[in-house]
Amino acid sequence: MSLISILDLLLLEPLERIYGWIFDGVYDWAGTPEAALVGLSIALNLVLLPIYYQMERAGRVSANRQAAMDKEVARMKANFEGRERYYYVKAVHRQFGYRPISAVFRSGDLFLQILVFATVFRYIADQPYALDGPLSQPDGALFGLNLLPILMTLASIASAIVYDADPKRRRQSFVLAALFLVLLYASPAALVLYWTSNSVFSLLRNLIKRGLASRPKGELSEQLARLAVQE
Amino acid sequence: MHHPERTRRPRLHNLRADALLLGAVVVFFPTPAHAYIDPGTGSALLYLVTGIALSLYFGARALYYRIGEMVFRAGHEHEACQLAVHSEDPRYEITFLPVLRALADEGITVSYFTMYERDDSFEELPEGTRHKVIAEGLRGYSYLNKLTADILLTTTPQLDVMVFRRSKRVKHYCYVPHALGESRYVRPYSYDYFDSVMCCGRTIKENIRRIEAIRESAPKTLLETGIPHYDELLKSATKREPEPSKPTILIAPSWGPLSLFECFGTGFVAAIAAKYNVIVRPHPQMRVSRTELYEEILGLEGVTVDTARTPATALASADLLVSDLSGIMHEFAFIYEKPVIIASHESVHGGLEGELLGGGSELRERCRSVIIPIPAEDIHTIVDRLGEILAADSQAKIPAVRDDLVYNFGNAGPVAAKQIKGLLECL
Repeated sequence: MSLISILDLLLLEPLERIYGWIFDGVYDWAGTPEAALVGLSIALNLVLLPIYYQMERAGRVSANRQAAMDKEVARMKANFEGRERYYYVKAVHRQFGYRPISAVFRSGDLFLQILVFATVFRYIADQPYALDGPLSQPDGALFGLNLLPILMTLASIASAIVYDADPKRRRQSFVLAALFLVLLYASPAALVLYWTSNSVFSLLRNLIKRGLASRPKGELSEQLARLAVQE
Repeated sequence: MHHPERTRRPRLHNLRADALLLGAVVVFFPTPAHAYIDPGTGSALLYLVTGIALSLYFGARALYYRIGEMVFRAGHEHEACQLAVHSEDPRYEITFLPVLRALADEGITVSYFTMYERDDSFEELPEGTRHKVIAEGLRGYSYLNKLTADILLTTTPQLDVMVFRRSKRVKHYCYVPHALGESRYVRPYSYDYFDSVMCCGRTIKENIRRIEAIRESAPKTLLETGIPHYDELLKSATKREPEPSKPTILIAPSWGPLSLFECFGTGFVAAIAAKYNVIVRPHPQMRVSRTELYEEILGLEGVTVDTARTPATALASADLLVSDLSGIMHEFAFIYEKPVIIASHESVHGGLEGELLGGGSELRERCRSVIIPIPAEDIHTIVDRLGEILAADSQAKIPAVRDDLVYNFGNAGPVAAKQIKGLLECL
């Protein structure tokens, strides 16, 4: 047995077994592979929600620190040249405790997400509905056009608008949404359905988060206080 | 649970290819992909890609500079001492001598490393001071980087930033000021990696603490020392009473694009010479780099040009100094107790520590009553201003300003020696 086979057996097979339990559970309850795919997407997103939250929180902290460091590096680059500039940029990195290579090793969350991403697709690709039947083909549900990739793109654009107010980052997200539309447009419906479910979940999550964030401070406690008085 | 129609079969080729393609996009498209991969993953991806690229870039550059340092480092014998003092240039001798003498009085043995030869023209070192000449530049710093000592005392800033690295075998690095500074017009990280700084006055102490707060760095030991070379200047300064009939004005600019002559030409010198005795002490670099301007100054009528090795005679002869932002203005005001006019454009912080601190010079503001600034656009009024200032008897205010801004005036050498002794006892 090769090393890759051992790793596959130890790391990937258990994950796919979990996906199978979720998928089969929803399939037994709803009776269609479409519902099972959506259920799998929702279940995995819910399980990963705390990790996403941690990632975002860590990302915000490190993004603020990164922005402060970038500002200092830019100041050094604007005022110094050559050897002097190199040493000052190094000193700025030292001040912020930054080592370029450490950014690579700190990306554990990212690797986890890629792992889930890859194993889910491997799992879906193994399922019979992905090989035969309507889900193995592009959906063609909108007068011959593929509806799911369009829905997926709309959800993605909406999610980007809700998530980020920065015009530059929004534009990047729109470009990426367009790229995914091109890549996935002619893909089997099974794949796009799972992906669309993820996008819609992400949109809902961002909408809820924005709703909570825009609630005026104290409003919730005031409501609770009113409720308490009514009782 | 049983789904008879769902049996395992070979994977669908195009589905797998799609998954691989998407995976590639996710990994190699460094942008916050909020909608498809989770938003936090976008920034993680960005760090991943930039982290790899920056590691390669910095790794290559570090290797280049390390090789250079290693070439210079080869062949040094390790030196071991208790207290090492490092002087980079002969002009810092005046800073170290009062400290060395006071250390000798305290019975502390010193190893004095100079990056220049000390011939017979230099003052003899006190007993108990062991002198060693080390090479200039990178080779000399490579030597210091391998030194063994309890304390290393130096006037060279930017420890552990450029080529002057900390030695693992030196327990404590201490910076000594060679002028009245404020940690504003100095290059980045000038004092950050010293264990202690002998502060010349409260302004530099406050600003170092502010920089520590901005950079969130650990507070270093800030000693209230003063300026040792003022001890020497004070001893050698000969003071004379002002000459009320025709006072003498010394014009001593610094060097560079913001210096007096570069900004305003020589016309204002002629205007002053029409009413006062004038001594011009041009910066030595002007003779080399701005020959025409230098010749123009030599040709000015009624002006004495002073090119003596030290400015002591010119300073003693003058009743008022006109300068730009140079260390001589503090020496004239505080040692000779006479007023100064500084005529210059507002200094630019460009990359210096002052840019981080924000605002303008605190020292300039605190000295305003005795070191009087004239805005560049008012230079044509300088003769009138000279008359007003000389008549105002502004020197009466000098001792109070000096005592507020300089620690241990005239006694900084012995104070520094006691502080070093205290540090040695703690280590």
